[in-house]
Amino acid sequence: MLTTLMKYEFKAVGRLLLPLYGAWLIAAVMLGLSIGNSGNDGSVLFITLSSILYAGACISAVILTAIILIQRFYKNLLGSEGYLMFALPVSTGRHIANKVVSGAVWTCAGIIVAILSGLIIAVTIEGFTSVFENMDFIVSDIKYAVSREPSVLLVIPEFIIVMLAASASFCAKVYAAIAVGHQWGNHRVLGAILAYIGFGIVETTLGNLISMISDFGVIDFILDLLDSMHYMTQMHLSMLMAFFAVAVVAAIYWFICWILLDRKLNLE
Amino acid sequence: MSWTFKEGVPIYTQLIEQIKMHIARGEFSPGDQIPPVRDLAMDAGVNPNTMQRALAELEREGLLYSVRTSGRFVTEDKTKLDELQGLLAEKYIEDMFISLRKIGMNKEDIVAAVEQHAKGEK
Amino acid sequence: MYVLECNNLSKSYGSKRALERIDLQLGSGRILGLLGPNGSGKTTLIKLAEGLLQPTDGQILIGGKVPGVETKAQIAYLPDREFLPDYMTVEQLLRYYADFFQDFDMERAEMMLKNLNINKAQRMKKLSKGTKEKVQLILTMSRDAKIYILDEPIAGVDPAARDYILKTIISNYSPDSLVIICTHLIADIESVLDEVVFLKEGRVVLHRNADELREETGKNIDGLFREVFRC
Repeated sequence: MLTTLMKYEFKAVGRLLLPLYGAWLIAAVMLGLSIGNSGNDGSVLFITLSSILYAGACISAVILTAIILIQRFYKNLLGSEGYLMFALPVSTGRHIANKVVSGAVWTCAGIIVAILSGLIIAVTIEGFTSVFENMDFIVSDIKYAVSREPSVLLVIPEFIIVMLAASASFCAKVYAAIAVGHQWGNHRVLGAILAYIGFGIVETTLGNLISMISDFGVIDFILDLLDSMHYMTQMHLSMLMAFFAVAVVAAIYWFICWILLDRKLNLE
Repeated sequence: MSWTFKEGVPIYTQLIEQIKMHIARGEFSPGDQIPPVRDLAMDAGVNPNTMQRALAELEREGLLYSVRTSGRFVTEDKTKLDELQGLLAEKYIEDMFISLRKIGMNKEDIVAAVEQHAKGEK
Repeated sequence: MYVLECNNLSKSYGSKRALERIDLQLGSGRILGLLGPNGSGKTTLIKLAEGLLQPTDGQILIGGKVPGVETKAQIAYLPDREFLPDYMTVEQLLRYYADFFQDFDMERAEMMLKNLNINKAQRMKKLSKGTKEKVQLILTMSRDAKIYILDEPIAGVDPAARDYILKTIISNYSPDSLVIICTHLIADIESVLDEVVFLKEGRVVLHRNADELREETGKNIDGLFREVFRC
């Protein structure tokens, strides 16, 4: 059921976000072309226009991604569509998992499109060959590094996993804030914003508490432990620790969401 | 087929009466199979359980009979059908008497008027 | 075992009591009218059965089970509002229902759409209000559910649509399922009901067979309702 749920979720979000990301990439191509062909008479105007267009695409992509993901949670689960969603033979946990995974994947997709758009601008300005002319060089570097330290290849998937987990944790936090706000009858949006700020305060306080504890030598102990290890092990271990830290936070927000949607749900 | 319901009378008794009318009028002929409960209920716009109850009562009275697998049929028993006709005729006449008494006619007036009417019909 | 059972069921919203110690046992093969004015607790009771709310006290059981994933698979629920994603086409919604509900009968749904001349390729948002309601009803009634819960299915529809809705409910009748029609417009549906429950201020004030009630009181259900709920 989770896969069916996700299939429809991706269709629903993709329908809105894919054209947006497409437009973003097209704006990147136009900006690259306008800079690459500068020297003509109208070029300054063209560059200015395409810069504005690209900047607009960046900003609107970021803002709209956020709005769409929030809307998908709020309208789909807590609005009138909630009467359909919560009548499906699907557990509340799966509903939340669906939204969190979708939110995380689309956030990461946004980041990837952002990187891609930068790459496109570079390629269209300089041409493919000049950007990648040092390719052989890079490839041989990578080969050398891998031959000495094969586990370096793991860093990229590790990084992607941590990034996904961080996005998931962020989405869970936003959803939990919306769910808290929903409890507050007539001031749902205000409630959600206050809840989000409240979560931030709790996070900071807990963070301070942890660093206070670590004054008693916990952090020093961990650092000493890390120092005694091989540098690649250090790398993997810190990735793992980052992942766990983020996953614990995500789990807490997920649980808050679950309590509110399963036990305290009251659709309008 | 048309069905009408009055207020404050159980629907199943009204259904019994109206199905009897259908039979007497020949809309359901003797020996004919009648439609299944669900179709009759849909046609009348009533609950299938209520229709079932009405049909069961008609079966008990001998106006319908059911054959295990093929459904329900209208009786071919001449005496039952005559009896039904007689009953309905009695009811119409009674209604007529009530109406005509209201406009001040007595028994003799009514009988005379009926005879008069019967002559005119030919 | 009862299809739906409430034992000492209560629900409060904050300090406001919406349902007060409801005891109700409903069997299958019935078309039941859950009747009461606005604010009498009808929708709260339905939401509890659907698992959209949690009881404050007591319990509600569907086929002996507490509402959850398993019971939701057995209940076909028609809410009293537009609840379908409006960017989807009718055809996509059919597939959506078939994907999530194993008891969804695609053929039945397609036949009903055809009977009502509804274009499957249309998006929900392009349909008139009346057509949207018909699509919602078709999706709900095309399931082979144990319980059908229809919340105000005829409010705001024209007489022709009302007749169609009632005929659909009757034609879908099965001795294995329970149909609950929740409404305050009784005159239009009373001939379809064989059992009625009156809810007043969160309590069950009457639960009887419809024809017995007519026989005893010499009134129709609508008249009786007006009497019980006279302002």
